[in-house]
Amino acid sequence: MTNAIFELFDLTGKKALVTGAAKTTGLCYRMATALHDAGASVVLMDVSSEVFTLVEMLGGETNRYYAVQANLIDEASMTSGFETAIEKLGGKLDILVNGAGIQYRCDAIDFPAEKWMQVININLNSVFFLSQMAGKIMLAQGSGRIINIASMTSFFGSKRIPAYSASKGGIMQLTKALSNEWCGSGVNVNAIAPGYMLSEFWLGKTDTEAGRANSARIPAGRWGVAEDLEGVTIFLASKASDYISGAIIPVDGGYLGA
Amino acid sequence: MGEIIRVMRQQRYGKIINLSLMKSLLGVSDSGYTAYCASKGAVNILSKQVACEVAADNIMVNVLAPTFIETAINRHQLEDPVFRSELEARIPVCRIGQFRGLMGQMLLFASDASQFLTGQAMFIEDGLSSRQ
Repeated sequence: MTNAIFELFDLTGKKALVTGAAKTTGLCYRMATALHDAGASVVLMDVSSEVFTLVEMLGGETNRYYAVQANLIDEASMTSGFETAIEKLGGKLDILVNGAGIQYRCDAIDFPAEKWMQVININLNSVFFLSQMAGKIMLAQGSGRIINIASMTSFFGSKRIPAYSASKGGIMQLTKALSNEWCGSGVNVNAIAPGYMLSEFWLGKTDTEAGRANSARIPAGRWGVAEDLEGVTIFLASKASDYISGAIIPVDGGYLGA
Repeated sequence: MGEIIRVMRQQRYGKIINLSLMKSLLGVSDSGYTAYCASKGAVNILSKQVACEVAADNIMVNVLAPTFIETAINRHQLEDPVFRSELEARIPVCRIGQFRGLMGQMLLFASDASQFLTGQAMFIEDGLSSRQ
């Protein structure tokens, strides 16, 4: 293979913002480091102040990592955080990964209104408003990539997570809607739909009744890990996916096909 | 795929990439494509089924499904300005796909970058199927 083919995946000089990336055990942290290792400068944005410690551990600004703390439920904090991120990236934005998301489990009949609003605000509303702010920059540049995080529950309903399922169904359609309006102007909008991943919630729980039920249905015979998202993240952020937009790509070990 | 899978099972590794088309998902208004569309739809679901059966053997099976891609065979069709403009109008990016647009997806499917990605038909169509 010639070196020229690798240029399809090269993100040198690109500026990226990844939300929800402050936990090293999280999926978005690995997506952020993947973008960095492919050459991008990356702002990690999170509601937790741990993001500053994490970025320092990664080598900070001299190593093309930047930290911004922002609460995506608070419009003023989200807007201010975004503006700070853009300032740190020198006014340019090539890649936005809308990774922040929360979960709340409760039977639908008892689901608290406050929790419903929280989940929808972070998982869906903030994705739209951050994409809107990013879109203004990217459309002016004539290029950009937005990567949203969909879910298995974008495709099928689940139980006890009605707000999460609704938000992820919304993410799938929002991805397509933004793609319809923007990809003709050089801004591709796509989503990754992770399958059953060994996230913080499921670590140590795969041997429960629920965990075993999920495991039995994964054709790949294993749960996913954060590293499984790295390749697709770089793909969607790079020239390698120039002609792909409005796509929802499951990284699920074959789960949706079964 | 049978013989190939036998070899890949012995290796405990494999990547199978089948070629489908957008016509596996969407019909076309022109007549004469009934069997062709059906065959491409079959490629998609066959790939999903095989993917389920071999995933535990570390064999990934996926599908490339592009829309109209300019090639030496169809270039003459694009010389018709009416044909070209009608085609471009249906694609959000308003330009005809080039082979280079497939390369990234093909490399993704062929490499370990897709180690947990199987049973998928990737429609390379710049948003064509995202809208009415």
